[in-house]
Amino acid sequence: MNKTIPLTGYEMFSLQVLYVGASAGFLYPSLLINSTTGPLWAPIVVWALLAFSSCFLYGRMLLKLRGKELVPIIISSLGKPAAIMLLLPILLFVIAAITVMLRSFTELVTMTLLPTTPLLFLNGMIFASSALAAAGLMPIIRAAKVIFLLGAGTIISLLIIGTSGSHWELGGPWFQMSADFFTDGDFYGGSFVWMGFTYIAMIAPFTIKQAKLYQKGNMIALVLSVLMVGCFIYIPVMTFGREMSSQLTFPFVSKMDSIYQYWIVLENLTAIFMSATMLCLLLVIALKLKALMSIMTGIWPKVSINWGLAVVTVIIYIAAELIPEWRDLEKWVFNSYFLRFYAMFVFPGITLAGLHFKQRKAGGA
Amino acid sequence: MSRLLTNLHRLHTEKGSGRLFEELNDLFKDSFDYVCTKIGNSCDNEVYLCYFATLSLNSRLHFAFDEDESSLAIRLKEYEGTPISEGDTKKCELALCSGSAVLFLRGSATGLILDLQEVQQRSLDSPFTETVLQGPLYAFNENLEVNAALIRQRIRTSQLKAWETTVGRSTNTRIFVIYCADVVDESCLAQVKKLLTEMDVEGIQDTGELLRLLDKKRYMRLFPKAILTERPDRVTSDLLRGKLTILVDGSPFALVLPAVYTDFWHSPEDSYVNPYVSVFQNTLRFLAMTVNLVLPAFYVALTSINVDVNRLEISLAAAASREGVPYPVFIETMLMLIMIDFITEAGTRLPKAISSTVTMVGGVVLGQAIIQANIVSNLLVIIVAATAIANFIVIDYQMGLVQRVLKYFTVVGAAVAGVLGIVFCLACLVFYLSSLESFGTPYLTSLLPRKGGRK
Repeated sequence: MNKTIPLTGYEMFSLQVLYVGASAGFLYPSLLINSTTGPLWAPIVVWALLAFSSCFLYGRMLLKLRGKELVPIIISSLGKPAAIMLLLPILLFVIAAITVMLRSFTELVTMTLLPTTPLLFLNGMIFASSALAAAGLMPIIRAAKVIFLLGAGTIISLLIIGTSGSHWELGGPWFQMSADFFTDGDFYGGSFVWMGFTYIAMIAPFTIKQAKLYQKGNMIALVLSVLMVGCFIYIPVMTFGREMSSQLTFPFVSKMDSIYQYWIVLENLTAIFMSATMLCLLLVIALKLKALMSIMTGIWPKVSINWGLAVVTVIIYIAAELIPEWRDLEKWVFNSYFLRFYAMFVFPGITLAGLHFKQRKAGGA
Repeated sequence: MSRLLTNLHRLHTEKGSGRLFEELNDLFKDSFDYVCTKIGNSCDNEVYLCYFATLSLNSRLHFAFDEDESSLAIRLKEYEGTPISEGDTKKCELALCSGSAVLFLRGSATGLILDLQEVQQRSLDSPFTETVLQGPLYAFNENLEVNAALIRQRIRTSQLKAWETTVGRSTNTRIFVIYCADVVDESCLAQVKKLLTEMDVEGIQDTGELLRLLDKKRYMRLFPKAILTERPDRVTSDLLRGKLTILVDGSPFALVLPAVYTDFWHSPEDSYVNPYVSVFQNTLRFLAMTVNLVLPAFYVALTSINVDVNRLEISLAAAASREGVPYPVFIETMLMLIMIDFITEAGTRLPKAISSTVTMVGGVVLGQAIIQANIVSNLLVIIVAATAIANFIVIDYQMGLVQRVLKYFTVVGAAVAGVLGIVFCLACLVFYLSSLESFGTPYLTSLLPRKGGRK
């Protein structure tokens, strides 16, 4: 049962949008606002272009797989030791990414909604994602379509509502270009928002048709992602001003707190935003866990998926518990950008080159 | 009669040393309604007729007094019925239990089975569990043949096929699997046939029990995987959409499968009314489902954990209504929800004449008294009443029961983590639903693509 059927462009699109919904709303705005003194749209556009090129690389790599699974192909092309060397950083990166994502969200929940609830309990939400990941890829996709309507739909509605009380003049400078963000660690620290397609690519096999759809779905999603990220950053800036926004740890959450409309029955939209974010986050963690297991079972085929998943989930849960405080989380986000770059460019680049070389060799022989 | 006699003599000549008479008498020796009577002689051999007086319609057999003046004996003169068949002891035992009669010669190993079955059944009536607002007013009854005929009368095509099997070591219950060969999902059909063939149980009493036996995944049984319906129009429209139907002898409910989540929210009337009205009604049903699932939970969350989420005026009003209530919000809500479920259950189980009184006493008198006694707030009474009404909007009885259970789940979530807890419970529900399959079809199949059926 639950046999894998071809993914549609819409499904890839919804997964990508959910990824942005889960990751861009709380930590990212503060990082990006602090990364430059010039126009804020400049680093967003730079990241969008980088994401586009990474997505293009992954798309080309998936086309080369011709419906076969990613890890076995890498192992057969490069040999097992080289493949493990290539995939190990990805494994570590995914585990770390899930840990940081989980802990940062539960930390935010503690700060805003449930100050007395222990993190030990809140971090337990990962087990719901783990159960979904254990059910397989198709349940994740089916859940994503529902969560997309509920979670992403709510976030987009909140973004529209959030534009009330915004003033264009506070969003500037608009045109005084500055490239100072290239030298700022915050700019690189924010790279995690732009790599949803990496996890989707990991859940291959994709047929050639799907690999083409992958590119198309992700490109459309990238456009919506840029708009969403722009809103997440500009809405608080255009409300509180640049100076004040840069002082806030969670500018967008603060904006949600400040919304008052007579026709909205609820007074505190933070709870709604957090709930919608949690929906996206649970789904994205399930997707990441699935990607993680795809790599692990590819390298070590004898590993039982359910037991492997249980062990990894417990490890992540304990790791999320052991992070002492928020500042350590931020440090990790800043310092792990090289792993993200590796996952975005180096890994698909090397794989693509290896596959290309092998196919040429086979063609020549 | 001459053909019957020829067959009878063939039994005698071919298998003269059998013990069918002794074996049948031994098998049914303590049954008061078992009749085994000698009806005459044929070629110096005694002819016996066995049947159950309570199951067989013996007016189909016509007897005559023997014309031989020396003795006063009776003999079989005429038989009205379907073609006769021959069977050994096991087959004869089963035939007798099904209401047939067995005619044999003493000493033969096999007997002739005469179909005298008299089926006890209701006449066609309106459905009891599904109110018909528009559409055919008759429903299935307990007779398998009648139910199959009702379907055949509505789909007049050679593509309508029926596969028969029996389930149950003791009950030998007949089961029909009906489908339209040109549109049916072949893998689903093969899966169902395999499950029914391999089913090893003592007996089954109803289609609901059969559905439970067909569902092999023990932890995935919360939601119904097939539709139980009494309405032939619902069955035929689903057959034309590529689903298959299981009819069980003795049950007035047909089992339609595979069923996806949205199927339980559609009524057959949706196809008979204006499409705009149909969309409106479906929206109402989904709203009712949401209200039923989350309204009591939101009351708990917004009055205990996320007090600041609500408008100040509403929060103050809620707090004022709880003034004097000694229990925490969670306990108060659980108390009222359980109370309303008691009333619902009592109203369902009691005879109609008493149930209305119970509902009145429970709903109005108890509600008023419980507020005056300051045990619960009046706001909660409104919420619980709205929840109960919303629950009755659910079309499918099985799904309504599941909804009743799930609201407790979200209330617990709300008591633990407020709004976030409710959303977490809903996420878990979505994850669970996305993992379910109904006989190979994903339970959360989208509404938009066609789910099989004629192209």
